[in-house]
Amino acid sequence: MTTGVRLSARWRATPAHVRALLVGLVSVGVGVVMRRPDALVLGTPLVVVAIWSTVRRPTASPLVHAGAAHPVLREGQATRWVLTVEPGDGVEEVGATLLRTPHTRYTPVTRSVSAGTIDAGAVDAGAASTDAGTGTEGTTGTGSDPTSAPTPVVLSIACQSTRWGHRALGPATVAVTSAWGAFRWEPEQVVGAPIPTIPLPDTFSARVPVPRPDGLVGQSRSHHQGDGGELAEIRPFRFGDRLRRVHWPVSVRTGELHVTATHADQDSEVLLLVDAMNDIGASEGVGGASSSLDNSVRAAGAIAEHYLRTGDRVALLVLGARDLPHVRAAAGRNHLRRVLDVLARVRVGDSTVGDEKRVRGQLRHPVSAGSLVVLLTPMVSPVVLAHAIALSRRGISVVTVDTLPPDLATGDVAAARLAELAPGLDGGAAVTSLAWRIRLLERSREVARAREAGVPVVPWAGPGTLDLVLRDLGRRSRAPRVVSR
Amino acid sequence: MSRSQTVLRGLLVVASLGVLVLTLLASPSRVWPGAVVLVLLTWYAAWRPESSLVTVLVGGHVLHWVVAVPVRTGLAAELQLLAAALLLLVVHAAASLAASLPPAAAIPGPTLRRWVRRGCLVAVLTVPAWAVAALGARQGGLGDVGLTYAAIAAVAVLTLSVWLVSREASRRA
Repeated sequence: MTTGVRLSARWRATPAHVRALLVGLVSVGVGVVMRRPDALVLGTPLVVVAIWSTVRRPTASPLVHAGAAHPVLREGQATRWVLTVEPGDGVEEVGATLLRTPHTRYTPVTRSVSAGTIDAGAVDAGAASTDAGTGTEGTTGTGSDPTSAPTPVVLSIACQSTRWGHRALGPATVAVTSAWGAFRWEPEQVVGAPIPTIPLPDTFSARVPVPRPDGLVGQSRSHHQGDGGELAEIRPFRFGDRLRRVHWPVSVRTGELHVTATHADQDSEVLLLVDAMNDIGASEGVGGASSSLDNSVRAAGAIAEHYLRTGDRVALLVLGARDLPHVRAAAGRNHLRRVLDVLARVRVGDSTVGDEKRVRGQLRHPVSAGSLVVLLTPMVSPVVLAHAIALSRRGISVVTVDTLPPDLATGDVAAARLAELAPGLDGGAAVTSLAWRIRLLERSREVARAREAGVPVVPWAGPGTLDLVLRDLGRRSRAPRVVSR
Repeated sequence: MSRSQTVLRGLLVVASLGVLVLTLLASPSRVWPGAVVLVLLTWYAAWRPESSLVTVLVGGHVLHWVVAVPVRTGLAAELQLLAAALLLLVVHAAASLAASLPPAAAIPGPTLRRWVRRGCLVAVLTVPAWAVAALGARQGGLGDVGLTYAAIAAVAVLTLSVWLVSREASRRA
């Protein structure tokens, strides 16, 4: 079965055919006219090749389809870029090359296949040719039975996407040639739709429940009493209590009916705010160095995956990103896919006035009471941290996760890394180093202020990152406090 | 670039330089500027075999031979001529094959075998033409005007038939 886009082109004579025809006929002509048998001999092989090529000229365009085998990938996952050629009469060689694009890896980059059409005296017709070591594979057309349709030639290139986002495979160059390379069927460069690569979430788990579950059903222990698994207290029987909740040992000892009361198991809403206004550090994809945005996106994916599996509702808002929807809170597996799809479309903002306006608009997002807001940010922009403080003052549980790469969070950063941070900055490495140290000092002051305002800031560390702060938030949520509304 | 492509382009260079050496050996008055140009064109052809300059290279070799080498008789001279013709075929075929496939791709074994087989067949077909030409040269006669006209007419018919075949093929396409 053929997949992908159908390619179209026309057969055209190549310089090789023109060469054989022109030089061959002119040489033979000169030999005859000028009585030069040597010119005649020199031109004879070329004339034979030209006649052979002309007689074996392809009569119909081949049916060629090209495309990727999978519509969506995960980070680090590979797919196949497949070229399927149904060779017509005269097709002999098929070649394809994929041009490299950022964050993709091809194995091999280019492939060629012998299509081997029906040919008088063609020994290889009907045989399969596979050579994994040299990157050639394919099947030849049928040679023994001229009435049967030629077997399609399948040429595949393994493509690995090494970073989340939309990855373009190619453009690809495809060429089909005839006998003696005389005619070439070459469509325009094949540019397929970019393949969404959803982030590979980091490993994450949280043993501590979210501070204030306030939903209907879930696995988080609520402050309210109700149907659940965790014991709250043993209290005297009240009208309406179920008989199966009667605690007989206590009832017998006290002479009065007592029942066990449990905490209700409820779900909670987790709002993930991903700061995409800056991307600090080098991004080398899976297995390599991670930038701040890489850390944010992968951490957001991990947190979403964890809470959605435990039955909570997760919402997502990407700050500073253009054309990305606000993912409303919902639960379930399909919602995880929706969240990951949006995360795959995150692109860093370009720090323009329009971006700032957009962020100001995004920061007016609604937050349900009882939500847990997890802010993933490198904390380079003070606006985001100020927003976290404002949410906390409204009585909302906020956790800020620091996604700045650890090697950039110190003042002693190598000159080469600093050059990546500010590529166009005048003054060289010394100025950049000084500027970065000043920014880090300001950042540490902003972090201290946020902590004083009740916003915990934790570096991203995978499993257990949020446990300690969630425990503190849970304890704090049970204590009386003043809230500005 | 794949190893097989490198070898193929090396073959192109060797064959082209071989034709040049044969021409210089056979020539009583060597045309050195022409030889230098052909060497430069050879390197360019190895670098860009899909280029139209390969046509200039092959045509240049023929022109160089015709200009520099007089019509000679004798087995050694005739074998030199045959060798030059076959080397010219190798230059053309190597450039055509190198241009047919992506440079980074290895040349499939069946493709290589098919081209070698066909090259040998063309070489075999060249031998009768060479033999007739050699016999004609050995005759040493002034020739017959009628035969010359007949030969010219034969070339014209050959050209016309090639054109008609290609026209017919394009109509079918």
